[in-house]
Amino acid sequence: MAAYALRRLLLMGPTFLLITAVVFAAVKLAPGNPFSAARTAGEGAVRQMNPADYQDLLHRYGLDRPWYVQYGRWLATLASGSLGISYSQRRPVSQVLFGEAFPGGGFLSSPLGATLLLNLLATLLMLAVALPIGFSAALKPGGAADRLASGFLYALYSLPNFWVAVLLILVVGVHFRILPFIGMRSEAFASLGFWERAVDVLRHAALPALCLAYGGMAYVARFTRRALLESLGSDFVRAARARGLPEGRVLWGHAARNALLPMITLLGLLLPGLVSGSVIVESLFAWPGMGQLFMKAVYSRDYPVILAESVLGAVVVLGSTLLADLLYGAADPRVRLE
Amino acid sequence: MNRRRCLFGLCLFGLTLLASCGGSGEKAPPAPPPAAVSKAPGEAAFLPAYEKRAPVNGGTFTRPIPVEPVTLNPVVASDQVSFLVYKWIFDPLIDMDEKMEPTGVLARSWEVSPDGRNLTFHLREDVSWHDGKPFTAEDVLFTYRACMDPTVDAVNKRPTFAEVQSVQAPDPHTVVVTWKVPYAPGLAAWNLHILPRHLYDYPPGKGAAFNQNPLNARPVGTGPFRFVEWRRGEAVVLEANPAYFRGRPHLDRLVFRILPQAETQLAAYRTGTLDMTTLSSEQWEEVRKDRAFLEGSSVFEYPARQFFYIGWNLDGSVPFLGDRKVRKALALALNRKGVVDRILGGHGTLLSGPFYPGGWEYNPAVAPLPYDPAEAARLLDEAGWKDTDGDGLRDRGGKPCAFECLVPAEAEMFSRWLEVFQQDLRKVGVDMRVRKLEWGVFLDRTHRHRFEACLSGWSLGDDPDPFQLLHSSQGKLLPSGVGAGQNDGAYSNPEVDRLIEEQQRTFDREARRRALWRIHEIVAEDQPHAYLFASTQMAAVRNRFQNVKASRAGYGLFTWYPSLLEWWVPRELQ
Repeated sequence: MAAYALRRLLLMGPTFLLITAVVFAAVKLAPGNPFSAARTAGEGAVRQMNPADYQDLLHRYGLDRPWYVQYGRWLATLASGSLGISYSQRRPVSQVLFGEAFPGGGFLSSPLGATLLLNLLATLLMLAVALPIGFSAALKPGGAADRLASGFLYALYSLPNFWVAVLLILVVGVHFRILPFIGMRSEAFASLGFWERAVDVLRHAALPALCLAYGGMAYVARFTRRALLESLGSDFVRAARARGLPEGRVLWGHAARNALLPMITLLGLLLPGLVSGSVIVESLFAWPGMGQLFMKAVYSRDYPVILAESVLGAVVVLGSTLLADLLYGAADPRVRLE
Repeated sequence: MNRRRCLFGLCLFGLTLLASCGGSGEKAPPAPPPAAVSKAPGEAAFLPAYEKRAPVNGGTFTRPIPVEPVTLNPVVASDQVSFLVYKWIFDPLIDMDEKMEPTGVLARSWEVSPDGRNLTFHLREDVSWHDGKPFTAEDVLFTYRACMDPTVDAVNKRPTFAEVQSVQAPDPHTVVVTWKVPYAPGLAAWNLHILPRHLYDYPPGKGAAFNQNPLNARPVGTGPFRFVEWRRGEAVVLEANPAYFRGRPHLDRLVFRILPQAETQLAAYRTGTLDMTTLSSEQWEEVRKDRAFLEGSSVFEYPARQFFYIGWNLDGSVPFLGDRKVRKALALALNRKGVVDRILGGHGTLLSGPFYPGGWEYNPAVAPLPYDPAEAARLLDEAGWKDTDGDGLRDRGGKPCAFECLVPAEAEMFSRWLEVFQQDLRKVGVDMRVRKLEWGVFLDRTHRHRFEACLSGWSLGDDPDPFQLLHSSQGKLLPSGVGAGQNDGAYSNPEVDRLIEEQQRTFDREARRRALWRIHEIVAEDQPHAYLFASTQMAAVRNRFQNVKASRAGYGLFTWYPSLLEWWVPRELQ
């Protein structure tokens, strides 16, 4: 098992390099550079940047070198344990992603923290709705829960989330004024106690989390339904029933436990989603997360930030796949690889 | 202040849902809106009976900003949003007043020597930094040195001092600027926010320390407001500086909330989270019928210091665009008034040249070109472009009269205008293909002069000098393949070059005006760009704020001095 894990880890190295090289090449292929926009979008500029200054600036930041040289430099920085310095914000990328006080604290209000929090809430909400529906649907195919799953949840799935977001803002936020809809906390946050702060953040997260959650419900419900149905139809369940075990025991002790196996795959699919922010939902609700940061970084050609977010995404995807595989191996001896 | 290409109404998702959904005001009984609902530039907004009362201190003003400030170091910052925040923390030597006349801030007074080469500033002696240390000429010299240090990322400040030979401080409260040549536009460069040397000093040539100074995130200035906190991605908070030399501002706090979406902005204004919102023409049509909205708001409409144009590439790559007659015909064929009326809801002014309509530099005798497709057709015929093969498109020598117009994809509004213009041109037998490009790509293509035509916006600076846009030296390509200036279409007219250089050396307002008016006339004939219109902007401010006023010169509600410093909130409404 340990050898297997190690081998998988080693295999991840080249994959990781390939991913970052492709991302690097892609951002370099896009015209412009971190300073080309600044040449003209300048406040206070009666004239644009002096061409010599501009060349000098590119040189100083190594942006006049071929892309593979720049990639090599970036890899060297990464190897030294740093994500580099953001071109536009002019502070370490680790601070940009993980917060001002990194590694001291304040993680929750950093882009990564904010996105993790929002996505975690959204995922929990999604699972809380979809799992029971999927479960009941499998127990009674064609029953009320099944029709709900295949009808209503699919209808939700087809609604574009920017439309739902605007609708929620106008109805819940403006018309009924039940929930706040901008940012992740109110102005009075600093003066609140711990529990009041938690409630404040949850209230701010409610609408964006709902927007992120409803789309995946149909998928998860279907997934659960199929996994449980398959498990219910298998030989060991028939055997358990034949042995005269009570139905509850058959369901919870045998069928449901085995239905968890494919759910590990689902876990591997959901985990990476936790760190990637939704550009649309985050910007409509002014949620200070990774999606907005990424968008901004792309517009300002802030290469170190784009790359750091991509690296983070790559690491999490590779990590979750590995985790899912290992969990599979641990849970099901038949698929254990040697 | 700024002179640059700009993206108007950068809106990623054109959500028009709001118009149909309406707001909380829908329940109010239908009533005709008051006759004059928006305040004209220069007109101060007061609640009835408050106009004559003495201002009191107190209150918080919360405004939206569309993205996060990049940095709060005024030398390093090059974006508009950073400026909106740091301008209250730092002071410049001079600023522009409501009517675009320079007004002293850190400078008590200034004078230009008779030969036009020296500019002397007399600094105020009663100014101190937020940490209590006194402000002196040393700080001005330091800020200038930082701007000129090639290792400092002062990307957009350095060129404003290109004509400066030296800056000296003969005593702690005097600064003398010497230009290489007499240079009238040079005063405006000193609308430069000054940094405290004792906190930002660094070894010359080691600009990284300056660029990455931790104080860039918690700045210390001399300005009317002091920095309180910056919650990344959420808000920047400032508080009144009780020791401000001009007397403390009336408002206690300024809160800048980061709100990327215009739709969310209006919604947040309605619920009271924000005290101000900008209004697009669609949003205005929606809220102008909303009594509750109007009763709680002062609405302002003011011209913006920016205009829109289609730039033609005159470098010879598109033969027919090299013909002035053709360019005039194309401009005549565009129904610009139709676009202003139907798409901008009337919120725009047609213009005839690259200057601010209503500014002293704008020649009122040059009328904007009318919409005249018949005249356009006649001019095209005259230039030899006729439809010889009967395909509905004009051609000459086997080449069709067709070109491609680049447009930044983010500015959804631009594409809507182009759809109209495309039809207009089709009517006179010209084919315009539209190509949407991401803003960075758009800038890259236009800077390298790799385009046939492009639709863009231009922000006007504090000084009307049209050097970068029209001087032929600014239309040359450098060895690197990038244009030397912003004259992307490579327009060149020796007479215009001469007049531009002349007005740069002319300090006498009347003489300078004459030169600029002549430039305006020539350019209107040459049509290096099709000048479309200048837009007006609308904003609503909660009407508990008294003495709110938009600038007559297009500086809006905030970009002039003292603007916000004169606002106040009656105690009973705080």
